[in-house]
Amino acid sequence: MKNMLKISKNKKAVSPLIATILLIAFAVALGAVVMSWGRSVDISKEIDSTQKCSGTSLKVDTIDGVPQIFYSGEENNGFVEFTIENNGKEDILGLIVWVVGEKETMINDLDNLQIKVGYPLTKKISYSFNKYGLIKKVKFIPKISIDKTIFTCAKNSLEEESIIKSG
Amino acid sequence: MGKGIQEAKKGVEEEDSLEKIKLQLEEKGHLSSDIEKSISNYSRKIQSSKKSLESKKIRKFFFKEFFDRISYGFGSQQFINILFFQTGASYFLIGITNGLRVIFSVFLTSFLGEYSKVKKISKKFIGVTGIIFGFSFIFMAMARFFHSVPLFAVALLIGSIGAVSYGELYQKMFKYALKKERSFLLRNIAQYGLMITGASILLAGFLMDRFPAIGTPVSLFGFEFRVFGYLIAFEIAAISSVISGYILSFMKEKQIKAIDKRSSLRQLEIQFNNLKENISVFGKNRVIVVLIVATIITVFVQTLGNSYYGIYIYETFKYGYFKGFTNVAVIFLIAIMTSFFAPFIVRKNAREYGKFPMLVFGTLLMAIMPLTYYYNPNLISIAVGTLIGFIGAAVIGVAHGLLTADLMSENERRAYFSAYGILITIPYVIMIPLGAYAAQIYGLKSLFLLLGLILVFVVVPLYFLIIIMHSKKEKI
Repeated sequence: MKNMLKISKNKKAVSPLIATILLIAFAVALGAVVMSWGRSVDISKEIDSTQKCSGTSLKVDTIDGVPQIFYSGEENNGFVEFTIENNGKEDILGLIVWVVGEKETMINDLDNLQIKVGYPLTKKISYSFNKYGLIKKVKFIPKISIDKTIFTCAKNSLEEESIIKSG
Repeated sequence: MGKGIQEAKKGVEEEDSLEKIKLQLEEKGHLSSDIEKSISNYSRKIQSSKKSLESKKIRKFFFKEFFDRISYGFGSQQFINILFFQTGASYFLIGITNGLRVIFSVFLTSFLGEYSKVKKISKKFIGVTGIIFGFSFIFMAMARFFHSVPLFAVALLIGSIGAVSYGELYQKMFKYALKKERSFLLRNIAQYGLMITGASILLAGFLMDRFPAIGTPVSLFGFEFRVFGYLIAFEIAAISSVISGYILSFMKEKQIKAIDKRSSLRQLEIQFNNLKENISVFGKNRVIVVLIVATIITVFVQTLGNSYYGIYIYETFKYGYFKGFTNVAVIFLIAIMTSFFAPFIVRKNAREYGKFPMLVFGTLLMAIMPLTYYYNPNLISIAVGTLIGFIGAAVIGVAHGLLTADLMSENERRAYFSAYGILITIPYVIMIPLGAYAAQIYGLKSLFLLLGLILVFVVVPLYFLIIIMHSKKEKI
């Protein structure tokens, strides 16, 4: 009995080739788990977007100290016209414009535009004074592209409250 | 009586046997009760003074180890590589410098190992190498401050030469000096050391993030100045190394014995001549040749990977989680903690599965690390991948050690170990620049993919080949 125990203790459980195959299978399974773990959460892209957004900056153009944001028209045929400048480090590939009125906020998603670094953009958008009320504030939220995916840089928005009537 | 006591004291000091001392003194006419009393008094005194000497020595070694570990943590290789990158070094230069560092280290380890067997290397020399190692950190910090890439590269190389000489010679001295007198503290220094290094890495990472490289303005006693985290961390590393070298100068030097008056150039010549002989000794054994080729490729992958892993983690996650340097610190802290349990697991499994399968397994585990960096670059996966990679490296290390003992005769083993160091550095002269060039041209992610694939599709088949060759040999 003692000898049997000794034999069973000293005996290798499997042959080297089978042991190798078993261990390979285990390593491959382990590798597959680690390499696919949390893949749906592409953290590197998220971090990339935070990093790139930090280099995004907009500025309202001024002439003689006057911010170039104006409104014009009346009732349902109003307009908001603005000139903004990309003074950041990233090209802007879209813009969300909020026009905060006394009654409601109008949101305009401007996708088909590009403001290269150092370039200005002048745009005129229609506005209904009847629906939204008098303009209190305009807010611009830039959008950038990372690996062909568009990211909105909400924390890097630009707000302007002094909006004057176009002469 | 007085003279008798003196003679008893002399006898005890000379470690004569109790009976011999007694007999000698009784022959001279001393009373046996007086002799026994004197012997017992002096034995007690000598024992306690020996004990106090031993504990002093142990204390010195412990403090020296303590400062060494602090310096390893604050001056961690991953931080050095990141700062080298920030100084303006290209991926190519970082790879080449790290490759040269490894070549120098392996070569020096082999050279000093053989040289110290035949020639007495003074404690002063060991201390100086420690101080050089310490000062290299100050030069690296200066190079980072002035954005001087050449100064950084030179400081890094000189530092690593200092580190290897210091480490190798000190280990020998430690082994000889404390052969019998290892206390519980020193027996477990590896475990305590890991904890000290881990805490130091973490603190260094925190300091470098808290006080980034652009300098944080701090006002103290009305003075305004800028604080740089890397400067603090490297200063601590430098001071710790210098203190450790200084402690070494207080230790007794009897341990390293000189056999021959041989110049270092002569030693080099002898080693190169021996290399040819040694290669012919184990070169006949095909299994060993294939094993060496597999080892060369594995060490190449490790060297190149270790040059860039820290930089990649830092660059990918510098705005997230714990922030740049702390992310790197946390990942490598988790990974080095594997040293606590990995060797135990490996030894146990090597018995169950055999050494060859463990080599294949270890290689595959090592491959998971770069492949995770390529396929799934998020911090948690990278942390787990790095942990697995470190376990893989430990598996390979232990299995390789057990295997060389099994495969080779005493003669072959001696030849193998004395030639191994120099032999594996030769292919690196070509391989490392190629790898560094690939990193420069194709980027780090592609390099990691390449490293993972090399392990899976080149090293693993080589081990399979060894298994087949060995089983054929056994059948014959």
